Amino acid sequence: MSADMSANGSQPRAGAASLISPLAAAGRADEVVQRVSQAIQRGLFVDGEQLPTEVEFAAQLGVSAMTLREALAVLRQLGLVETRRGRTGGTFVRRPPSPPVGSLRERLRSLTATALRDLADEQFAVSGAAAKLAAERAPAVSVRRLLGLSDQLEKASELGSPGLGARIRADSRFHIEVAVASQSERLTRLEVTLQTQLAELLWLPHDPELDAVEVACEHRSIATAIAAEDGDLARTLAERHVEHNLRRLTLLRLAVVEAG
Amino acid sequence: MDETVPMTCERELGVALGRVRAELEDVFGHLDQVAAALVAERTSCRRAGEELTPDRLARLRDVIQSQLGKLPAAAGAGVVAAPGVVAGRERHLEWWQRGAGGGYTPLRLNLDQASIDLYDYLDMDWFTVPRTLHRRCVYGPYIDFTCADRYVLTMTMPVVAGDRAVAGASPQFLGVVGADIAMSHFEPGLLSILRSVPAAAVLVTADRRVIAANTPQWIAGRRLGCLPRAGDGTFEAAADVGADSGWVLALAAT
Repeated sequence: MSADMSANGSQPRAGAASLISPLAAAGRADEVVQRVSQAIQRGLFVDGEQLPTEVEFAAQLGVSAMTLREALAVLRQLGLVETRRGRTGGTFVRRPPSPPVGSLRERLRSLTATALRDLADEQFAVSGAAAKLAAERAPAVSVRRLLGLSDQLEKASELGSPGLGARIRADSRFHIEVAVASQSERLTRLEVTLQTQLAELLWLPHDPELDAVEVACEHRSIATAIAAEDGDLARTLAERHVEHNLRRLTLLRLAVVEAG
Repeated sequence: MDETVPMTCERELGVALGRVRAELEDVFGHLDQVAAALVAERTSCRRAGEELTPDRLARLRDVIQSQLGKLPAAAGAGVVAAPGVVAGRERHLEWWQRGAGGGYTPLRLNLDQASIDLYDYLDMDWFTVPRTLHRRCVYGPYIDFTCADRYVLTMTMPVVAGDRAVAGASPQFLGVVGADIAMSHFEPGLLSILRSVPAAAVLVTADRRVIAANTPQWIAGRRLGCLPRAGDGTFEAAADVGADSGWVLALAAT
C-alpha cells in the first residue's frame, strides 16, 4: 500500500476528481430546480404560464445558460414544465388543477422499490427532524395553519376525484409548513423537493383509494404534538407517518405494475 | 443589600435597548418615506377626481427602490393595499425585491381569489396587526417560504389617509408599507450590540423565540421556556425594546 502511495505521488487521481467536479455544477442546477419547483408548488406560476426566455431567466436567477438548461431538463422530467418548439414555442409551467394521472402512473412504475424506499429514507430524516424542531420552536400562527391544513385535507376527501389536486396540495403544504415551523431554511428546501417528488404519486387514484381521512388524522396528531411542544412525540408520529406513506406508495406501485 | 450590581445592570440594559430600538426605528424611518409617497399619490388622484389605479401606484417604484438602496438588510419592500383601495383590485401590491444581479425585480404573488394557491395577505399578522390595532408590526423572524425564501423579519406600518376633500369622512386605511429584513444581514448589527453588554444577554420575541444572544447558552430560532423577567432566577434584568416589536432584551444573573 505504501508503495502504491509513493508511486502515485502527487499525480492527480482521476477517480477522486470525477467525484468532485460534477457535483459543483449539479449543485447550481439543483438549486435552480428547487427554487423553480418551489415557486410552482407555491402557486406563484399559474398553469400554462410561459417562463422567461432562457437568456432572461438565467440572468434573473444569476446562473449560466448551461446550468439553467440542465435544471429545465430535470423540471421537464418532473412534469413541472413543458417545452414547445416553433413560433409559439417556449417553456411553460404545468400545474393543472388535477395532475395528469397517466404520466404519474408512468413515473411511479419507473421507480424501483429501492428508489422509493430511499426517498422515504430521506423523508424519514427530514420530516422527523422538522417535526421535532417545530414542536420546540413553532409560533402559534404555524400551529393554527397546520391544524387548518389537516382539516382542508379531510374536506378535500369529500370532493371525490375532482378534489385530487386539492388533496395533493393540502398534504404537501402540511409537510412544508412543518418544516417552515422548524425555522430551518435547509430543512424547508429539502421538504419542498421531497413533496414535489412524492405528494402527487401518493394520491394517485387506485382501488382501494387512499383514505384522506386517515392521512388527515395522522397529520392532525403530528400538529397536536407540535402544539403541545412535545418534540419527541412529534418526531415519532412524523416518522411513523413516513413509514405508513411508504407502505401506501409501495402497495400502489405494486398495483400499478400489476395492471401493466 | 448591595444595589450597585443591579444598578449597573440596568444602565447596561438601557443603553443596549436604545441601540436595538434604533436599529428597528431606522427601518421604519425608511418605510415612512414610502408611506408618505403613497398618501401623496392617493391625494393627487383624489384632487384630479381620478381613482388610484395600479399604474398610479406603480409610480412609487422609484421611492421604494431608493429606500431599498439605503437598507442593505432589506430583501424587499413595498406597498400592500387594503381591499377597495386600488381601482379594480381586491388585492394588490407594489413590492420590489433585490435581484441577483444587483437590480430590483417586482415580487409576483398569486392574488387570484379563485385560485387554491391564493396568497391571502388579508389573513396575515403583518397585515392584520396594522389594520386592526393601528400600529406598526415586527413579524418574525420566520422562514418566508413564499416571498423572500429565507429567514426574515417582516416589518410593516399602517398607512391611513385623512380625507380633507370630503367633510366628515373618517380616515381611510390604505394598506401597509413594509420591508422584509433578511436576518443574515440584520443579525450582525444586533449581535454587535449584545456583545457590547458585559453580561450574558439574549434578545427574544414576544413569543419567546431567541433572535440573538451573546453566548451559546441561547441559540437563535429556539424558544425559551418562558419570557424573561427581571429576578426570575435566570435573569437579572429584562425590559421591552419598544418600537412596536414586542421584543424583550434580558441580561443573565452572573
